Amino acid sequence: MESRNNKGEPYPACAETVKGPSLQPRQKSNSGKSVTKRVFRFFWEWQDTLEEQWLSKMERDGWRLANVKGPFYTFVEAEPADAAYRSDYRELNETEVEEYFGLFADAGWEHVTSYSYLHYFRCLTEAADFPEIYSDSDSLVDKHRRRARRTLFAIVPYLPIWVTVMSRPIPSGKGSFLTGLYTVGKWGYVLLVAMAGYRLLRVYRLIRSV
Amino acid sequence: MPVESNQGSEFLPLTEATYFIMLSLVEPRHGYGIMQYVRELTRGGVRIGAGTLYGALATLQERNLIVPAESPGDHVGDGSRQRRVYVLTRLGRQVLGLELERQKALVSIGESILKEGGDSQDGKQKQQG
Repeated sequence: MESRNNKGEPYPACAETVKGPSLQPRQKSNSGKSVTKRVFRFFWEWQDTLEEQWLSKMERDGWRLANVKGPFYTFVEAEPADAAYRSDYRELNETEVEEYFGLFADAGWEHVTSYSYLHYFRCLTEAADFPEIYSDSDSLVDKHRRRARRTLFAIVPYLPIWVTVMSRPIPSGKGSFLTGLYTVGKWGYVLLVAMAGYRLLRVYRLIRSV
Repeated sequence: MPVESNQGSEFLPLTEATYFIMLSLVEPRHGYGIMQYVRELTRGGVRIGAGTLYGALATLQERNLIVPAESPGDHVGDGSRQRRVYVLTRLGRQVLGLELERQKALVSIGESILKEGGDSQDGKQKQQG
């Protein structure tokens, strides 16, 4: 049976999530206050599928995603449910926000939270006849490219500092604070570049496998 | 200003999703309308994800193949949200026409080969029989 909205049009996908009641966190009835749990877990940008699966598992275990702040996830205790999670990477300006989240809502995705340019969406799998936000590999690859570009740009602002440090002689004086600072500046950037290189390589491998 | 006949060929080939999105925008439609129309057109065979659709709409606007339409989009629910309506530009229509020609050429080549193949197989079967 297909669900319909108030205008009688069928929902395209994930219909149950856009209906009123399920939008609210389902709290345990025996206590008025909702129980929350904060979890630290780090995912690399090439592990988005792993992260999505983990969020689904948490909800099956009765912990529904409420908030994400980098590697800190907040969950609200809720009735266990089969839900699909998808994260999208999109740099939006103010004029694009309404249209962007509107499209996802129309497609049956509930916007859970956003952190920086990462947006988390959820839909109940029982209602979903198409639980994907990217329907072809081209657009999925684009998502990874957009995110990888950010990795690359993150190292650029430190370049002038590094050049400044490298172009000057290391101040003499054994064990002085300045000497230590220069060494950190010298090798810190090298480490940053190496790290970015590794991350880009992993994303490139992911793109190849799409 | 007349549009050159091969103008827009740099955008070819179109992905399946882009092709169907552009076909939907021969008439003004909003994003939700596009999803429904494509689903109808292909009897559910082609589904376009929200992320794919948003990206395609942004790219098509950047390339001036579609523009936000003059007519106000319809309001959702309590009227707090408005859906943006898009329509194909002249260049967009031209690109769609070129894509259609490209696909026709592909189909006719494929048909001519398969027809030959089919004939020769029939011939073999006849010989065996």
